[in-house]
Amino acid sequence: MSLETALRATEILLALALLQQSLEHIFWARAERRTFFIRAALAIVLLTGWQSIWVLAALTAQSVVLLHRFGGAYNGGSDRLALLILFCLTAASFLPPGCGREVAFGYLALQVLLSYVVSGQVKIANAAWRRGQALADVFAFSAYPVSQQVRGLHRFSGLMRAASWAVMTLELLLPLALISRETLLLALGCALAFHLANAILFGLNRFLWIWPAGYPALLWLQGLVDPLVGWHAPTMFWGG
Amino acid sequence: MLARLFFNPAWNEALFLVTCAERFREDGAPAALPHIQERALLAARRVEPGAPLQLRIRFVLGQGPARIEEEIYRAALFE
Repeated sequence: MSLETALRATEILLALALLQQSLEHIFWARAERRTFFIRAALAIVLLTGWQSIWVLAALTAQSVVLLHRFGGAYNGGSDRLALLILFCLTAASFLPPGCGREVAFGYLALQVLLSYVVSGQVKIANAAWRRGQALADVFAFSAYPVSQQVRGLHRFSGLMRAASWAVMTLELLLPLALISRETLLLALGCALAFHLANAILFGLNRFLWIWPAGYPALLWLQGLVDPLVGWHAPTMFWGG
Repeated sequence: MLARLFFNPAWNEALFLVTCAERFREDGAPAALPHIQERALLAARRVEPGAPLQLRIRFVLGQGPARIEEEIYRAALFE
């Protein structure tokens, strides 16, 4: 994936995520309705690609105001990643084509990778996660309505342990998927399924929208490292 | 369930309130309190407009005999 294609794909996915967040605020929290109406309008303009450099700058400035308004991130990790993507895209847009732009976008790719690896590292260092007890506790105590319907799953300790190890393995080994485009697509598909499960079971819907916005940066990065470490599955297998 | 993938504001608002309560507990951050008051007031008014309101922040850990409760804030009655 070329840098320009990846930047535009990131803009579109980010715009959709910001639009989704803004609509939640507009139809729920009366206090911030006007602010998020402006944010939704900016997201729609970003979708069209018109004057995206200034739209990104406006969204970045508004994000700083929102950080002050909410005393930090409103929705934890999902808002932090949205901010990171926004800052990196804005920096990449203002920098001239070349090394600086690649560094700004490469920094985003690195941070998206680290978001998985550090999360996996924290989990695997915790004995409760290795035993599956931490995940069982999430099922047992989550107040989300869907969680209450599947609460009984926490009693299946083998299932909880297997699911915990599946998540930790995916998060820790994700950087190795950069070895080829096929492995990266497979790993990102698994990661997307993980976010989908979190959205359905625990109500973390904003994560499902914002994390894929970081994926074009990883696909672009894979294109850079491919000539160095590239491994390709037999074409017969992939039908290519 | 499918709609909540796109639109789940009540739950995200609840998560924000938990974040504010944690900030208040960890840092004693007074800035977190107005957020909780403002949103709790709005939520209460949706259910019963005009009813008196008292805000408490309570942390609960575990279930059954191992259950631990800690009340970290109790405001005066608000009319």
